Amino acid sequence: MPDTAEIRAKRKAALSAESGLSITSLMDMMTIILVFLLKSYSVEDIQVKPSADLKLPLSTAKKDPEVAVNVVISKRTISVDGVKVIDVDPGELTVADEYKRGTMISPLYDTLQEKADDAKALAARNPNQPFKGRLLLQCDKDIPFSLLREVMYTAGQAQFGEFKFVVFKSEGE
Amino acid sequence: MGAAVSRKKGNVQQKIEPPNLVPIMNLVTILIPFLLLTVQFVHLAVIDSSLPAIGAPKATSESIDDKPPLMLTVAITDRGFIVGGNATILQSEEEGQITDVAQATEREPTIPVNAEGEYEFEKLTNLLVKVKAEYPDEQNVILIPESEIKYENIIHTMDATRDHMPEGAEKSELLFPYVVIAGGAQ
Repeated sequence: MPDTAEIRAKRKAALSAESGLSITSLMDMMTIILVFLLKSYSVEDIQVKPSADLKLPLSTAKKDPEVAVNVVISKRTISVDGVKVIDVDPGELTVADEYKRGTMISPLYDTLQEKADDAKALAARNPNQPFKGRLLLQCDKDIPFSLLREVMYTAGQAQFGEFKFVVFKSEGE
Repeated sequence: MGAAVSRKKGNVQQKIEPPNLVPIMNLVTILIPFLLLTVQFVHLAVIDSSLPAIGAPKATSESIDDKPPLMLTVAITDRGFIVGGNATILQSEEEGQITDVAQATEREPTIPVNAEGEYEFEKLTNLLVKVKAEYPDEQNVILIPESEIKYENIIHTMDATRDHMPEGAEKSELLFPYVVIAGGAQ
């Protein structure tokens, strides 16, 4: 009996020595999470806000995106650099005829022309950044080619001749 | 009694102090939300394309040799793919050059859609592998989609024409990476 009492006393002493919370296991977990997050950390210049109206198609393309004027064609709107330019009929997936001049979408042309002028003014001051007429196109996968053609034609009129279609990289490649 | 106390004191001093992890914990707890915000679970890529006016000179300036430029065209219609170009390999299959949608739709599709109405991208890739073998220097392809073709199918056609993975190979081989989309004036 006196033996057990002694053991108990010893245990009590040991417990009081390890005062405070044991955070070792928490540290283990956090270290693993930290490593995982650092591995998947990446900074990309392109902002994609996926929504029900903008589902990018999957592709096997491997080329990394670069900065350019960003045109988003969703099922409801067409926007340039995050600013809405014109509505898209969500059923027909077309732009209303009153905004069009033939194949050209007038409000989009005005906006893109402004962007082109800005970029050219910048290029005039900074020869390292020449105006290349690059355009990033983020389109919903259900958009018909007729709408895409109108946007591409309009962009072409506004001196944007190089298109980059933004797609999701398919996994496992 | 006194001896017992001194022995206890000695025990406490010998005990190794655990390292103070609290500052590291602070750091890690701040880093994790920051990294969670910037983490990307989907990866983006881009496919290059250019307007016909800019893309066309590329095709002619490179073909200095005897062979005429291939002018490979792939029309995408609701019935399937219609492949054209002024290449012998294509002409043997009664395919000439096509320049616009109207011309393409008159023809029977080279690779028709399957019974479920789906495009057979693999067959297109296989055909283009044969064309590439004949014209190894050619890199341009002209896409002519019909108006109602969905963007997704255009992208998949570009994938099919861009590269292919030979069996057993580890790296994909390029076919026709430079895409020009010709809308045709309609």
